Amino acid sequence: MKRFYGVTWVGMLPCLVLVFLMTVCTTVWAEDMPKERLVRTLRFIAYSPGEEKNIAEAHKFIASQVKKLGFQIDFKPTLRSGVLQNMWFTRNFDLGTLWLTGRPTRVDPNMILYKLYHSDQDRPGGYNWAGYHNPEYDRTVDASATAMDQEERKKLIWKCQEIAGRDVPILTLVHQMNLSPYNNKKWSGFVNMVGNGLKNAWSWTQAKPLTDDKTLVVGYHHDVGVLNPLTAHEMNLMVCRVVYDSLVKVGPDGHPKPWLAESWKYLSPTEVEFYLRKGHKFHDGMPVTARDVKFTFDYILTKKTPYHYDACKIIKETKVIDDHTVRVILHHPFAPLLGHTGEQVFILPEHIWKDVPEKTNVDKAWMWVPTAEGKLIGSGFLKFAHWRKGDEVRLEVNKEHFFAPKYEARILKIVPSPEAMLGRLEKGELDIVADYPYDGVALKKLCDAEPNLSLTMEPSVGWYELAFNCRKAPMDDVVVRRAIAAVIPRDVIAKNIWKGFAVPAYSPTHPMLKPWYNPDVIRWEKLGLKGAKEMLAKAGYEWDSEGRIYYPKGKTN
Amino acid sequence: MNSLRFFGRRLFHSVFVLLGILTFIFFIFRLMPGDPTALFISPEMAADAIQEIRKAFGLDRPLYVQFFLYVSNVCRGNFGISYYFFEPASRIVFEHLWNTLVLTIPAMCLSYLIGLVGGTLLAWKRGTRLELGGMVFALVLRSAPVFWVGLIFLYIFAFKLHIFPGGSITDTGASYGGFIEMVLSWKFFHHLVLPLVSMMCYFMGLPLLLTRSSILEVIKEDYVEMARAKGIGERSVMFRHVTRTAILPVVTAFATAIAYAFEGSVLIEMVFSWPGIGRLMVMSMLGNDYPVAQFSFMILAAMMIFMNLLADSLYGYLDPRVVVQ
Repeated sequence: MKRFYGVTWVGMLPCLVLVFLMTVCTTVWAEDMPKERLVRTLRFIAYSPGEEKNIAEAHKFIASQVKKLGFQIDFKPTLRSGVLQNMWFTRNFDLGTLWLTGRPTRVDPNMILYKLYHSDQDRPGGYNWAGYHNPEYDRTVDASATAMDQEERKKLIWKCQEIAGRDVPILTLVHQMNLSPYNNKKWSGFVNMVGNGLKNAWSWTQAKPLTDDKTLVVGYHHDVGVLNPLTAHEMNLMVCRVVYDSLVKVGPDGHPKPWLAESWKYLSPTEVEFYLRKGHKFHDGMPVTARDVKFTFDYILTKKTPYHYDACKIIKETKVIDDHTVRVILHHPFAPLLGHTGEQVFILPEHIWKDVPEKTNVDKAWMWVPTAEGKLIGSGFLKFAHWRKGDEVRLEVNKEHFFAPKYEARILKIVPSPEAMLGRLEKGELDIVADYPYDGVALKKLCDAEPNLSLTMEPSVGWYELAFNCRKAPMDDVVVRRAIAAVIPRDVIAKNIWKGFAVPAYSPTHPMLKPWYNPDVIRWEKLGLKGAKEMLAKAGYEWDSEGRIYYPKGKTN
Repeated sequence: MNSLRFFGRRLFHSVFVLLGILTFIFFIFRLMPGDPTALFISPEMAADAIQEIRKAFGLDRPLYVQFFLYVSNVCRGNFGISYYFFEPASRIVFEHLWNTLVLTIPAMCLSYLIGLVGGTLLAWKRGTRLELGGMVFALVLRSAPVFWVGLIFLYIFAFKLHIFPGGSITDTGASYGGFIEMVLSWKFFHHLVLPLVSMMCYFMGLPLLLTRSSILEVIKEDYVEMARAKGIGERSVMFRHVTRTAILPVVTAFATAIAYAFEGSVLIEMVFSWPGIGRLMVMSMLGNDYPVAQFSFMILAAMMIFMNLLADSLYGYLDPRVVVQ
C-alpha cells in the first residue's frame, strides 16, 4: 500500500470527494442568490462580415461591454440570411445588430421614425423587429406625418427622437461614412448630397468630362439583379433611378426639388397639383403626359406592387387635368409625400406597362424582365444600352432630357475584389466608385498618395444599430436597455473601431438633416458603467459574488 | 464491344446517381438557415408584400410539395426561375458557364500539355540539377494559393507595368453581337491572358508530378530494358514506348480536371472580375437563390459523373491489359 505522507490513497479518497463537492457547490450557488432569478444567457445575433472587419470588432466590443454589467452572452455570428430570418420571422434573440444603407427615400425622417418604431410595423418582415410598442410614440409619429406646417412638424419629429432615445428599443450606433473616390483629372462636377455622398442623381447629371473620354465608368462591387422598376432594391436602383424619372428628386440639401414635375401647388392639405415639363419624351419617342403619371399610381395601387404600394396607399385618387397637369388627392394630409412618394415612384410608360403582366409570360408585374424584351424604356437622363451579366451595364445619355448630362455614356462596371477596385481606380480604368464598401483606411491612403484621386466622405443617412428584443425579459425592462446603452460609448466606436470613418448616431435622424435633427436626444453613455450599475441596483437588480446579474424580486426569465 | 456495354450500363446508373444528388441538393439548401426573401426586404416594403413574394416563388408550400413540383418541372426541362435575376435559372447558369469554360478549358489543356512534356523531361533527366529545380518549381506552384498568384500577376502586369488590363472579360463598353463574336476578338484575348496564366500556374503542378512519377515506374519495366537492348535511341524509348504507358493515369486525371473546369474558380473570378460560374455559385448560395444554386450544382455533378465514366471507359480502351466487365 503506497503511502502519501503517512495517509493511504484509500484514506485520502473521502477527503478528495468532500473537497470536490465543496468546490462544485460554491461555483453553482454563490452566496444564497435564488437560481430562478438568475438572468439567463442572452442571445446576441449578428452576421460574420466578409471584408467588414470593423463590424466584427464592434460586435466583440459590444459583447464585452454588456458582459461588464453581469450579463452572460451567447454570441455566435452566422450567415447574413440566417440572422435576417431570425430578426424578421423567428424572433429568437435578445440583442442583434443590423445596418441600413443610405438612400434618398430615407432622407425624409418619417421613413425611419415610422418603420422602425411604430407598433404596427412589428410584424413578420417588418422593421420594428425590436418589438417596440408605445402608444405615445405611435401618436407622435402619426401626427408628424400629417402636420403640414414645418414648425409643427419639426416639433413632433424632435419629440419622436426624444421618446426613442428615452426608451431606447434600438440603440443607433454609428452612421458609416459614404466613401466616394473619383478621378479628378478626368471628371469634375460631382455633387455631394446629405446622407448619400456622391451617389445621387445630381452627381450623375452634373458630372463634366475634363478629357476626350466621354464615358463615365462607375465601379460597383456586386452583380446587378433584375432590372424591373417595380422591384426596386439595392441591386438595381443604380440603374432604375436614372433610366426612369420620378416627379421630384430629393435635393443635395435633403429637401425635394423639381424633376419631372416642374412645379406643384397644394390646393388643400389633401390635394396637390403637379405641373409636368412640356415636350418630355420616353426613350422610344412617345410623349410623357399626365396620363402616364395617373396610370403609374393606379397601376401600383391595383396591382399592389411590393415596393411602391406603401408609398402610394396615401393616394385616394389621381386626376388628369390636362396633358401636363395631374392632380393627386390624398386620404389625409401627408407631409412626406414629396420626399417618399414623389421621389420613390418611377413614372412608367402606359403604352408598355398596360400589357404587363397579362400579355407576358409572368404572373406578377414585378416579376417581368423588361430587358429580355428590350422594353426597359423610361424617360430618365440615361437610356439602357446593354447588360453583360456579371460584367457591366451600359447606359447612354438621353440628350433630350431636361437635365441631360454633358457626357456620352455611363457604365456600371462590376468589380467584386477590393484590391482590383483600388488598382483600377489608380490606373484610370474606373472613374468613380459611388459607394466604396470596404476598408476606408486603405482607400484614404491611396487617395492621399495619388494626386489624380479625390475622396469625398459623407456620413450616411443609413446607420448601424443594436436592437433589443423588447418582447421578452430581460430586454422588456427599459432600465436594462438604458444600462446597456450606458456602457456602449458611441464616439469610441466611431473613432477607434471605425477609425474615424463613421460618426456617432445619437439619434435615428441624420445629424446634418436640418431642421429635423434633434441634438438634445438623451445620451445614456454619459452615465458610464458606474451609473449603469447604480441605475440597475435602484431598480432592484442584484449581483452575486461572481458578478452575474439577477432580476429584482418577483421577476424571472 | 465490352467497353461499349460497360459505358452504357454505367450511364444508366449515372442517371440514378444524379437524381439522388438532385434530391440531396434540393433539401440541403432549403434546410440551411436563411431565406431567399432576405434579398428583397427593405423598409419601403408593404405589410403583406413578403408573403406575396414567398408565394410567387412557391416557398409557402410544404417542402415535399415543393420537391414534387421541382422534380416534375426538371423532367420537362424547366429548372426554375432565378430569385435574383427573375430569368430562367438554366439561362443564367449557361451564360456564366460559357464565360468560365473559355477560361478554364484552355487553362486545363495547356496545363496538362506542359505538365506532360515537363514531367517527361524531368523523369528523363533524373538525378540532374534540372530535375531538382523542376520539382521545387512544381511544388512551389502547387502550394501557392491561386488567388495570391493572381493578385501578384495583376499587380505587376496590370497595375504597375500596364501591359494587361486590370480585369473583366473584355474592354469596358465593348458591345458584341454574341458570345462567339466576343471570344474571337483581340480585346477578349488581351483580358484572358492574366487569369489564364494564373490558373495554369496552379493546375500545372499535378500533371507535372504525376507524369514524372508514372514514368519513373514504367521505366523499370522489362520491356523498356528490352527496347534499349534492341538498340532503339533513348529519345525514341522515352517518347514512343514509355510515355504511351505512363500517360494512362494522367489521362484519367485530365478527365477529372475537365469536370473541375465546370466549377470555375471563384477566387480567380473575384480577383480578375471575371463573370464566371464560380462567383455565381457562391453568390447564389449566400443569397439563397435556390434555383440557380441547384442547377449549377447539378451541372457540376453531372459533369463529374460523366467525366469519371468517360475516364473509366477510356482506360479500358487505351490499356489492353485492363478488362472491363
